[in-house]
Amino acid sequence: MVLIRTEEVWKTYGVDTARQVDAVRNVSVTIDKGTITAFAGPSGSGKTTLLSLIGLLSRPSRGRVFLDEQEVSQYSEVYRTKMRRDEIGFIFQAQYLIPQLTAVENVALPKICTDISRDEAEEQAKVKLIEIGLEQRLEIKEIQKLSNATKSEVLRISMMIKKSQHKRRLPLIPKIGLRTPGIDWRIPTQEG
Amino acid sequence: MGARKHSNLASYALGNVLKYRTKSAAIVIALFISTSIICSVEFIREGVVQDISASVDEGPDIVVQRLIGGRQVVVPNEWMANVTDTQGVRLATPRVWGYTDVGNGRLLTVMGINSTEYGSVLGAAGTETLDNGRFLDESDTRKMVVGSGIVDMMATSALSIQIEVGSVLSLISYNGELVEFEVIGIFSSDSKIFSYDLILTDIGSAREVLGVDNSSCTDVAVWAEYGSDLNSVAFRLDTEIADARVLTRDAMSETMLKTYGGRAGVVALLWTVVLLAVVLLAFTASSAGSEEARREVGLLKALGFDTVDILEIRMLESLTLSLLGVSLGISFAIVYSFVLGAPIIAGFLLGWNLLLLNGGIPLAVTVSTIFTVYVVGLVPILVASVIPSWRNAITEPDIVLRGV
Repeated sequence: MVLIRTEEVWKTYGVDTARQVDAVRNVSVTIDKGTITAFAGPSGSGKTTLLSLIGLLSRPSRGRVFLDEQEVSQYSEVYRTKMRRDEIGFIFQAQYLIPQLTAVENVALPKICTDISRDEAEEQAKVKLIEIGLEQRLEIKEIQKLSNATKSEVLRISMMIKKSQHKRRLPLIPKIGLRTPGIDWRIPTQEG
Repeated sequence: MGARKHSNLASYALGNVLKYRTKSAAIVIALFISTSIICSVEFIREGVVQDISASVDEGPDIVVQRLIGGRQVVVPNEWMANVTDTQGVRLATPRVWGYTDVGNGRLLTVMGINSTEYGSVLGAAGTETLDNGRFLDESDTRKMVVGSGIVDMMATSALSIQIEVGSVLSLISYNGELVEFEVIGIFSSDSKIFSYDLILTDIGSAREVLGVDNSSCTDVAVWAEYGSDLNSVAFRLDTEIADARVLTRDAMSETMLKTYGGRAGVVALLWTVVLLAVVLLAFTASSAGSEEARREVGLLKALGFDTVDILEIRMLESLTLSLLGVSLGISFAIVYSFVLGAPIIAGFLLGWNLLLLNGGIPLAVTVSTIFTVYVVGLVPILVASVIPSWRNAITEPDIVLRGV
């Protein structure tokens, strides 16, 4: 069963300027539910841009993006935001941790914009972090001093904590692979 | 989404204020300083405006002075007939005034009047504003009614002299001699500028202290007929007496307000510069140019925060900092002005009028002043921090996050 489908999508940055560049050109891809798919390619080939298009972080300049056979590329920004909040989980690179927040606060961050209380969200975050053995690092203030592997774990848990109340989850991991240490592939690809 | 989400966002915003300590402290301190200055200035300016209004209400309708070569000189007594006979003049009375001290270097205003004529005018200075004692009468010589500032000054002097009705106070005359006066009354006028450091005495005694001869006076106080047009009366006086300077109540008020208003304007200008610096600081800290703040907005968007959520967070951060900075500034200004007597700023604003005594600075707090200061403090900071965040929040998260 198809989860993600793109139809001849293009993403052009700097339209009508000297810096105009096609980051993604005419890409059509289909990804089935329950699979783990990786995009590989040289730097600048548009992998992250394609993930951004699928993850509703940006709109295609041309072409269409479907999630569960619904065309999402033309949805309103309000609805796209709701889908990002409820349906999609990103595991960003380590530098996307918010430096002034502790590990617990970073993990609980996705739930701040929901009706779950902050205390409750942070409690859940603590439980998850303790589960993976980070009990010594829960309240560490300078999160940037954590190792890259630990930061990746924090980001992974951060994405996981969103899933509990929703049926579907689309985890997207920009720029992982051989250079990303400590990635645990036990990410939740589907629920229910 | 209900109240709990807003509570979460508020908690996150407050957390940010605490965690970005350097930025928060810089904005609060800058706002504190600028608000303290503008508030102190406004308290004095407001006080001066109220004082001038009170002084003008207490004083004569018109004052006639004499100018020769652009300088004010004494008025010959012969002018009195001319002034009194002018159409529309109800009462004209000579005044002799100037400055003297009691030996401690502080200048006091001495004004000599014709007590019968002055006392006959309802609302004239001193007639209804006595705290203790009585007003001057026709037979009084070397008697004085003093402002409460003089009582305060003597009480805090080295000798700690308590001035009350019946006390004797010596003034140093123009030729260095001591002239003794008996205190018969103490002002409690609403007008501090007019009466705080004022010594009111009979015209003969004032002449003796100030060195004005019997054939002249310093100026002529004029009260117009009820219902007559002050400007018309002033115009007639000006026409009939060639070298007269005729000041109506409105002109005196306007001149005094311009003097203080202009000085307050200079300080307000300085304050504007400081506030501008605060705004730039807030803008820099939260603008698209701040990599950290930009990335945070992109990340929040990617995690599913609405544009409105992000604006709510930024507004709460700005409001917290602004309210804190402005409130601290206002509180400090109240202590600085009302308790400490606004040193430095009062001297700058009031100029020679600060020969006034300690505590004689006119001060007033109005709701509109406080409201204005809050608005002027809050709005620019709010705009400077919210607009860049809004611009980031309405941009595609991918572009904000990656900076492409």
